Amino acid sequence: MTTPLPTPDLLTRNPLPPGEHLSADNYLNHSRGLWSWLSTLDHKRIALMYMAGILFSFFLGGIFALLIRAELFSPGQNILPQLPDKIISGQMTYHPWQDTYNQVFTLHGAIMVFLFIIPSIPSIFGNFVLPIMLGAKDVAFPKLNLASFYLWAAGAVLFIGAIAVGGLDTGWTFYTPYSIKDSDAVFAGVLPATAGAFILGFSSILTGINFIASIHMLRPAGMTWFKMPLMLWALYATAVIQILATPVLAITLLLLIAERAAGIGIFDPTKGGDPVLYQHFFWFYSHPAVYIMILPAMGVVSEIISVFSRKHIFGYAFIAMSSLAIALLGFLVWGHHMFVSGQSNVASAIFSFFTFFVAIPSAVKVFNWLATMFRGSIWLKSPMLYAMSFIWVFTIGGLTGLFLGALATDVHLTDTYFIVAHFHYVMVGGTVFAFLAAVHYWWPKMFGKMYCETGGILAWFFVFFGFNLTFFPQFIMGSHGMPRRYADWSIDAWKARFPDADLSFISHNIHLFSLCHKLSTIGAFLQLVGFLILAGVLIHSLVKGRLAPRNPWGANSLEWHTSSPPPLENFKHAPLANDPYDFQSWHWNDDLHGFTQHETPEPGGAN
Amino acid sequence: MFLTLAEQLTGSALLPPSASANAPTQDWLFYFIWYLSVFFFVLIVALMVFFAFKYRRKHPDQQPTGIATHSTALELAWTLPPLAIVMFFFWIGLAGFMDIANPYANATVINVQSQKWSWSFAYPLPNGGTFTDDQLHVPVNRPVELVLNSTDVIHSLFIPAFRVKRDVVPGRYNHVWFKPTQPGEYPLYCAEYCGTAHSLMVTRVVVHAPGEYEQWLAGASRSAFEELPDDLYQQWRAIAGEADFAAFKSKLASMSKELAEKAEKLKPPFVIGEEIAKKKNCFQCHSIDGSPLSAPTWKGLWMHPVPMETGSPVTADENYIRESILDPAAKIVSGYKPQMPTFQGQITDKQIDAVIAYIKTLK
Amino acid sequence: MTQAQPITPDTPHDHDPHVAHHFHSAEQQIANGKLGMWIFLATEVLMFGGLFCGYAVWRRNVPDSFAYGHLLLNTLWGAINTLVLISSSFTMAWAVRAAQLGQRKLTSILLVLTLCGAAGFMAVKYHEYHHKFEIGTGPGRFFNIDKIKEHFHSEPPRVAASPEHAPAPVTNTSGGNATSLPAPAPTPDSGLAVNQTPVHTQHLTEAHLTAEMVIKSRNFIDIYFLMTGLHGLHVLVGMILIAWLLVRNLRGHFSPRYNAPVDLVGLYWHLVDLIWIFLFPLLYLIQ
Repeated sequence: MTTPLPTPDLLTRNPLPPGEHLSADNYLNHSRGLWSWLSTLDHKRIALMYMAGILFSFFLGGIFALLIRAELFSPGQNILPQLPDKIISGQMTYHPWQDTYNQVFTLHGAIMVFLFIIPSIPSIFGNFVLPIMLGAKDVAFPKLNLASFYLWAAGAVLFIGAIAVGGLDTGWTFYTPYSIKDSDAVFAGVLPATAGAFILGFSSILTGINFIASIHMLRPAGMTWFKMPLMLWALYATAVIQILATPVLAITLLLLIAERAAGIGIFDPTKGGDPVLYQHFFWFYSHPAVYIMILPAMGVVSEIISVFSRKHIFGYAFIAMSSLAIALLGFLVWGHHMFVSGQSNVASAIFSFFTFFVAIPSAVKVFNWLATMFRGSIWLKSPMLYAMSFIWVFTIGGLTGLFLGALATDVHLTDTYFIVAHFHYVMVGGTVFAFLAAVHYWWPKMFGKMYCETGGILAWFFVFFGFNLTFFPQFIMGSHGMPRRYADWSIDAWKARFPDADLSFISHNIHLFSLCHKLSTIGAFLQLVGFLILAGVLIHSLVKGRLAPRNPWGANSLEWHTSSPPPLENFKHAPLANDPYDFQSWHWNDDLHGFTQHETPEPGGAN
Repeated sequence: MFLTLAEQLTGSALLPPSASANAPTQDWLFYFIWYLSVFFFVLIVALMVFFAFKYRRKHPDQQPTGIATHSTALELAWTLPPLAIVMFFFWIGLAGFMDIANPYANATVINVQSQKWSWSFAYPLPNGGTFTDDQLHVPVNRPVELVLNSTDVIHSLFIPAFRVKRDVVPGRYNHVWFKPTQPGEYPLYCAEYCGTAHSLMVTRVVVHAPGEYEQWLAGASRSAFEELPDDLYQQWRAIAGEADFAAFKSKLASMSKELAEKAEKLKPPFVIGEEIAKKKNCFQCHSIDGSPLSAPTWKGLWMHPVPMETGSPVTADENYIRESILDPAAKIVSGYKPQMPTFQGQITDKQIDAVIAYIKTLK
Repeated sequence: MTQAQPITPDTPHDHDPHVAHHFHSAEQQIANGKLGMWIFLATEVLMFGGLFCGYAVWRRNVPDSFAYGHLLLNTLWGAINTLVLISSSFTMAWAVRAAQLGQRKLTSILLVLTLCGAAGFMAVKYHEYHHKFEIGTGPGRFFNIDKIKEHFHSEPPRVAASPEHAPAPVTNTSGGNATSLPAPAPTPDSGLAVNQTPVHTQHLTEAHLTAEMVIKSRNFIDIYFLMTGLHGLHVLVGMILIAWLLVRNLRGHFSPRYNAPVDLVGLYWHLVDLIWIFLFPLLYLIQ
């Protein structure tokens, strides 16, 4: 299983003639049966298994998101039921409905962050393309790679277990002392969820070790550090963060588990501990984790912008170095989550200072992408539309970060919907749009099938406009003071508290919040429409899609030099690395609906 | 210069009306970043869309017209000036932050205690001692210092109109300073997630016009029933219905002119008790109609046996209720979690009497 | 660049059986394994770093706890364990060398010695833990105040008769009460009055603590169990790995050409040793 079958074209010269497709021996059909998948060491199959799991998590997190938005469509209790609590003297008691809301937003955040966004691009596309981009047969440690997948699966199972034992209402951040006491965190899922996140951390570390070792050890002849595709730089920088930050999360969660299970009190103020220390620990991981989410996305966008502009990426060195700069500076800014927590003013000033520094490399990338498009030959296919959408949403996300990096404005805006909107623009806008761009870009390579372009663009339209409609109004209500994680903002709550008072001072806010929440909910359901169309397009592609050519986009990184889908060990014979952004040698072939290299004799209707 | 600009810019739709001395700097910075962001966003997106249109590929094989791969001068041009701009943001942000994070001299110090899910503000009285209330009252144009402490989890005190926010962390004292500039009423929110009724942990800030703060404090700190002489207080405390109360009032009116005035302000104990229970947010967890919430209902509680987590049932008499308010962890009702915060120091004995009188009425 | 070499078309038969299909040489595979192990060790250091950070913060928040708590630990046992672990690191390093030279028998002996060292370490640790639980000073909810009151008296200890060894009569240098230990004071220096005279410091042991002081040392006990517990877990994992090496070595799997696993486990074992070198002074020695 580990040695490729001898093929007749073993001795033909590089590159192989195009037109190899699904019917040929490839990694999908090389061996059959469920066991051949579950026990595979092949990085591409592991990537696909990740894809199945991660898309399921995205679906689950998405359901919780829609529950949140449906509940917030108007003030008061709308759709969320009261969850049963326990039986007291023969009578069933119920949690207040706000507890249900608290669960739903916690599970949305925790599932999306730990199970979807963090592993999404590195584990699926990193695993799939990194070895092929290196011209290698596999990652450096194939067994660790499989172990990493099973750790991910175990973590995911524990998360589902947290839901099964009653759920979780701590917020995805597990802030202490809330999360360490049963009387505060009223649902029983804290232990399984933190244990799950702990295990997911190990999965992340193993992936990081694999990527760093692969990039150091497996680069082919001719591929110097500065001739690597930018995707590899991005994955390398991501892996550095995974390795340096995740262990701190691991020990943090271990301490939290020790506090809950054994009554130790590092973070418990009643036992001499410090709850703010937990926040330092948590954000020491979780801020760099934001860059775990965004750096691979930037790598994807760098590839796609260049390929679909058919022009060499502009300022390669600046983009590559800015990835590393983000990875390193990202470790110096965690305290900007805690400007109002009571940390010292000096600490806040220093963290604010570095926060502004880390804004610069991101801005540099955006300008470089624009310069790449300038005087290019821009092909508006689905991947490019998503990549351009990424620039749109990431620019908004980045610019609104300036409000939050500045101390004076952060005090007003933090913990409001402004923050919610900001991190959704960065994390969802950043990662999900790049993720979708990557799905459309590498789909033909992964499955050997093309998808319906019109359907893809229609889905893009709903996702893009739905996304902006969901999150832009949240900036407005946030800057007007709508706090985050509120189950309700209705006047009834105020009337109950102040039966005799004139409540005119609050009514304007309530109207504004209601309007913004309505728009936001409508946007969320437009996104749902988009994702449903997208699912239809992709399923249709798998079932009935046209066979994909070797290189449908005219790209030049090594994965486009092998067949679609690739053979078991990626290449029938070793490729030679060249400049991944030099597209001159590839030309459109109408018969193939793809690009072929100039020197190659036309195979003549391989399709 | 900042202030004039701020005056021109505020009133715009993005921030709520401001009412504190520190707000103008923050608002100025907010709008400055806002306009600059709009400029850069429009620039970037316009260029992107323009390029996508202008250089659109008509045939898949169409070659690009440009060949530039890098330009160090250009790269530096879009690295260094943005760096200068954000350093400027950093500086203004720091300056504005120091307004809130640094003490004002001679500030009125108000101790703030937060617990799930209510606020209590302890106002210093002129003659020593404090008066606690669930709403924040502050004088206009005088600096105020809030000293924040939490008895359970982390909360966060957020007053949008003052542009201030500070976490209330158990185990440490956090401080926040501000100087209100506009008399009026404003919302105050809890901004750090704290559990079930997080979204109900809201209250009102009242900024009093000059001189009115002292008046309010003098009036609010003494309730009519608490000023009754001892023997009359004992009679008032025993009142169980409206008819009894009317009789008590007319009795007072017949006793002296001074007492007659007091009688006008007086309310029956069960009404006072209900008001206190509302102020202290008792109804977040205790129902009065028998419906099950996270704590035992008050309906039919009085003088009935209560099953205990450990030991034999206890009769819900005055001592039991009093103990449950002041030391809630002492006796845990079977099937419930020990999650009620103590009200020790936040409620007077006479107020407890009123709450008990109220519970007596819930049959 | 130097390590980047073209991948030749796979001709599996001239491959060393120990070289995985995606490497083109044993050297590349060894370098790869070492790089991976070093990165992993970096994550281990960061993980323990979180605990050291918690130690520092607690030390500052609750200094009393550390001043009293470290007296609960027996420096002699700690020193023995340090010696045992350092020796086992030495035998491990030697085992790596022996494996590289193909001295199979010697490798086995050295691995057994290393394993003995690890087991000895764990035995001492077990003894120490067992004692802690017996006197009620367990971590978290195993902290048993009743047991502590049984084993420690509320009165300060009697002064030993031997004059040169006598811990000074426990005096309160700041107050006037000479018969009992002072109430816990805000700084560790003044917490134990006797500590101010260094001559006697080394003779202070568990026996000088009152029940009240032990109860105050709860935070120290918690962090002691957290740090040594996590370290002990690493020792256990190390023992499993060394046993696995031993079995493979006995079966003759290692040769001068192929001995990477011995090398990698060696690296891991040295890190475990190194962490103990930090734990020992932080927990047993400084106060």
